[in-house]
Formats: sequence, C-alpha cells, structure tokens
Amino acid sequence: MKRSNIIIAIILLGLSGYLLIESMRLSLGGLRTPQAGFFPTILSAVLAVLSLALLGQASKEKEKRASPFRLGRESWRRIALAVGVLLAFGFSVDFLGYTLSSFLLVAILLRAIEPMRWWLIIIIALSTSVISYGIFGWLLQTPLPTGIFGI
Amino acid sequence: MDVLGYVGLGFSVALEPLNLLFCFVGVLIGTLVGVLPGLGPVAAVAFLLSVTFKMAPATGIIMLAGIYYGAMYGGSTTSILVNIPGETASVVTCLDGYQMARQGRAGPALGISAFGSFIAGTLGVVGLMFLAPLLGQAALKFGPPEFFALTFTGLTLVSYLSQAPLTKSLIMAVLGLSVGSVGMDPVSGEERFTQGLLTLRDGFGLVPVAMGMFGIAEVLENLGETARRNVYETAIKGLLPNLRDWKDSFWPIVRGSVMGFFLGILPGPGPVIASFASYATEKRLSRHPEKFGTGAIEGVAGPESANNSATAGSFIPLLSLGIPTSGIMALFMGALMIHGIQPGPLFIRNYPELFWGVVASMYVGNAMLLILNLPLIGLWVRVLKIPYAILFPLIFLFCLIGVYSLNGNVAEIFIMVGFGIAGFLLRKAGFEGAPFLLAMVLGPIMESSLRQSLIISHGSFSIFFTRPISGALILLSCASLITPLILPRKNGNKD
Repeated sequence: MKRSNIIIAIILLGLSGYLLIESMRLSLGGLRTPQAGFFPTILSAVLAVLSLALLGQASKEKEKRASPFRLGRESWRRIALAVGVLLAFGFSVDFLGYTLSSFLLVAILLRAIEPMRWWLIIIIALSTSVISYGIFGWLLQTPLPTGIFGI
Repeated sequence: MDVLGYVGLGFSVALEPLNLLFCFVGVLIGTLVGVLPGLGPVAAVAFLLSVTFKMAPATGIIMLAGIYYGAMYGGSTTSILVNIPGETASVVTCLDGYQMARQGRAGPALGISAFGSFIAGTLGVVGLMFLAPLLGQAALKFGPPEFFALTFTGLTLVSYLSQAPLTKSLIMAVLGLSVGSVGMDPVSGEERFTQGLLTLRDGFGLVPVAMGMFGIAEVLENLGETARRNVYETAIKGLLPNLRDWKDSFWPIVRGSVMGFFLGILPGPGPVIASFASYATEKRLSRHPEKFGTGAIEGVAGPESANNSATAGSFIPLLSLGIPTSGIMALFMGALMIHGIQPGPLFIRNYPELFWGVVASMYVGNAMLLILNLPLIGLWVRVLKIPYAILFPLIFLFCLIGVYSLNGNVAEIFIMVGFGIAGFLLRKAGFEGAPFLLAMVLGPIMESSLRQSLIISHGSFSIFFTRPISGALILLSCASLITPLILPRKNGNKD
C-alpha cells in the first residue's frame, strides 16, 4: 500500500497543479465579489494540501501488506478485456446498432471470461439482446441506435 | 389540511394503479440488487434514473425509493444464507444470521429479518412523516451561510464516518467538488475545465459518473477476485419465528428502529452505521452477550430493523433541507431536479402530492416486501446461484443502456468507462466512492452559497461564525476534522 499511496499522492499533486493553472485562467474576482475561478482555486489549494498530507503519511508507513494491485495475470486479463469490450461497444454502437452491438458484447464476455459452449453463449446473448431491446426500446420507448443494418 | 388529510392525499397517490405497479417494480429490483453481491442500490438507482424521465415525478421517485429500501431487505438474505452481505448495511447480519442458518434456523433468521425490517421501515416512515415538515419549516429561515455550513458539515461528516482513512475520504470529497465544478459557471456562464468539449458544457452527468464509480468499478473489482460463493444448501422451513424468537426480538426491533431512524438523518452511510450501532447496543444490553456471534436472534433482529428505519431517516435532510447526506440521496436529488423540482424547505409545501405520495408508497412498499421476502425466499436463493460469469455481462449491458438512453450521446459511455476505471483503481488503493459522489452533487450548492455569503458579508468569513446555526455546524465540522488528529482513528489506520 505504501508505494501505491505515494504514487497516487504524486498524481494528485500534479492534478492540483493543473486545477490551479486552469482556475487562474478564469476570472477570480475578490472576496467581496468572487467569480468563476474563485471556488476552483480554493479546491486546488485544498487538494494540494491533502495530497502532501497523504504523501507524508505514506512515506512514514511501513510496507506491511502486498500491494492491492497485485492481482495475478488472469485477473488483470479479465479486467482489461472487460474494459476493452466496453470501449468497443462505445465505438461501434452507433454504427452497428444496439441489437448487434449488445449481442456481441454479451457473447464476447461470456466466451472470454469463463468459456462455455457456443450454443449456450448464442442463446444467452441473443435472448439478452432481444429482451433488453423489447424492454427498453419498445416498452419504455428509449431511443436506441439502429445502425447501418437498421436493427 | 391536517396531517391525516395529507396522509389521505398520500395514499390516494400511492394507490393509483400505475404507482402501485412501479412501487412493486422498485421493491422487486431492490430485493434483487440486495440479494446479488456485486450490484448495489446506488448503481441500480443510477441505471434506472433515465427510465424515470418519462414518468410522472411521483411514479419515478416511488420506484427509486422502492429500490433503496428493497435492497436493505434483500441484503439480509445473502448475509444469512451465504455469509456474504449483499449490502454493506447487512455486514453485521452475517455474524449471527449465518450461524443460525448453520444450526438449521435459516427460516426464523430470514423471517425475523423480514418482519423486523417491515416494522422498522414502517416506524421510520411515521418518523419521516412528522419530522420532515417540521424541519422544512425551520429551514425556511436558512440563508446562504447556513446552506454553506450544512453542505460543508455534510461532506466532512461523510468523510469522517467513511470506512477509509480521513485523508483519503477528504481527497475524494475535494475531487468530487472539482468534478462538480466542470461546465458553465452557474452565475456568470463562464466555461470551466471543459477543454472546448460540447459534452462537458453542462458538466459531467451524474448518471455516467455514478454508474462508472459504483456499477462498472464494482464489476471490475469482482472480476479481479477469484473467490466463489457457496449457497448454504439446506431446506428452508419454518419462516415464521416462534413465540420465544418474538420475545427475544421485540426490544431489539424497537431500539433498532428508533436508533436507525435518527442515525439515518445524519450525514454518512446511515444504514451501515445504524446496523453496527444496533448490534453493539444489543450485545451490551444482553444478559447473554457470549451468545452473540453464535446464532443469537437479537443480533439479526436489531441490525436489520436499524438499517431499514435508517433508509426512511436519510430522506429527511434531502426532502426538508434540499441537502443529500449520502451518495444514493444525491441520486434522488438528481432525479427530482431532472423533473424541475428543487428539494428544499419549500418542497413539502409546493409538492404535497409528491411528498406524501412517496411517504405513503413506503408503507405500501414495506408490505409488498414482506410478501416478496417470505414466500419467495426460494426464488431469491435460486437467483444467488446464477454464476457471476453470466451476471456481469448483463450488468454491463444495463449500465450501457442506462447511460446511452439519457441523451443518446456515445461520449457519456466513455465518461462512464473512464470513471469506472478510476473508481476501480481508487477502490483498490483504499479510497471510497460515497464522499466523491456526494461532493459532486453538493458542489454547485456549496459554491453558490459560499459566493452569496461572501457578497452579503462584503468579503468577511466571519459571517459563517456569527450566525448561530452556521456557527454550530462549522464547529461540528471542525471537531470531526480535528478529532482524528488528537484521538487514535476509530478503525485503525487501514493502510
């Protein structure tokens, strides 16, 4: 935890610097007439102080436990894959349409995380896609993209 | 109109067929997310927020409230049968509930938990009915300094009471305030931190951020774990507690209900604190404290009652002051504001049908939950057996639909995924999401009340200390910030 806390504190310190620079570009006003940059400037200063406090606490810590980020290759593979599929859905949904994108999302995740038989994957993915479209697109009239195939 | 008249008005709203239907849908979804470890009520409410756009405000809020208190009921099922709490508020139920299940008394444990929840939930609603209008009246005298002090106190107390170390919780609160300040300045219209992106002109949406921090982050965390859960394999029979069980549970239910209600009003994770406080109280008051942890029914009845009445209590600051005190209340505030309704001192006066309708629906919902939880326990056990590998793609899909359907904007999907990744990494590093979400919603109120106060006082910060209510609140905040520096941390340093 010590190392991760130090890294996070440094990142936060950088973020507070960025916030401060961006806030200074806005009109600050004064104490009598605070403007748009007033509150964010205070926030950036408080964030800097808290980041320094975290850095100070972390540097005094003794490394007692293994890093919480030490998950094992398989766990990281699953997490990376899940994030990748979510992003791919975002990039493809307008183009492929909701039904096809959601079918692919469910099918790929089912296949990749805990492999099961293809016919079962297709049944689950297809029924999920169709039922969710029925509930949201048809019943609740949620506007869902239809894509180039019109589905 | 007197209280009885308003109660009648509330029931006339709550018993409308459509409101009854969505109350049922809400408590059903609530029980489901409570039963399923890895999907909490915050993510469920965030996800269904977009669905409420097309509903009447009362119908939407009735459904969302049903999810919240329904999750408290459902959470106990997993605690008792699997020794895994479906909700943090049910953590303490594992101690005696699971032991009761191992001794073949899963039925009475589930039964007393459902009955206790019902009684406490109902008592909590009665408290809400009487206290919220009184507080609303008092809050009419509040000015900008009081509102600033309230939001400031809310944030510091939530940070102080969170499970994470104080520094980390305060950092999350400041990050939430910073994210909340993105977009157009509410006074001058000047753009802040948008980098010219059109999507950010109105700021980060509450739904993508909440779904990312609570829905996606939670699933990613579960994907990183390898432990499997085993449902306690036994026939569950005799759900009705016997006379002895009732005798043992009566006072824990009463004490848990009262304690839970008042702890729920305070900023912070009310239901969680209430359940732990009730367990500690019952153990201290018991003539057989050594039985706690080995299957004492009082250890189930008290905490389960406390966490349910706390849900009713937590609505009070939002509905009467316009100040949410937890992440989920922040979402309720968002739900009201989407419909153009500003919660606050005038809320109850301006929207009596909505306030009393939602309150009455909670009575109805509690009765529905009793019916759902007892005879359908077998169904919830079967739900528990669904492999996570099948469940999580569905959770992802629901999050994606929930976010996309808001504005039909793909950029919000990326915002959700971005906050999901950040939320996952921060959770791993011991940071908590609740202060962040609360700060994000409170940010605009806090900023505008701070600026207005300074304008009123011609730039003097003394305005916050010279007015009695704001002075007392600021003092309370300072105490919560200074106490950990003087006294050892309550839960030790978690790092």
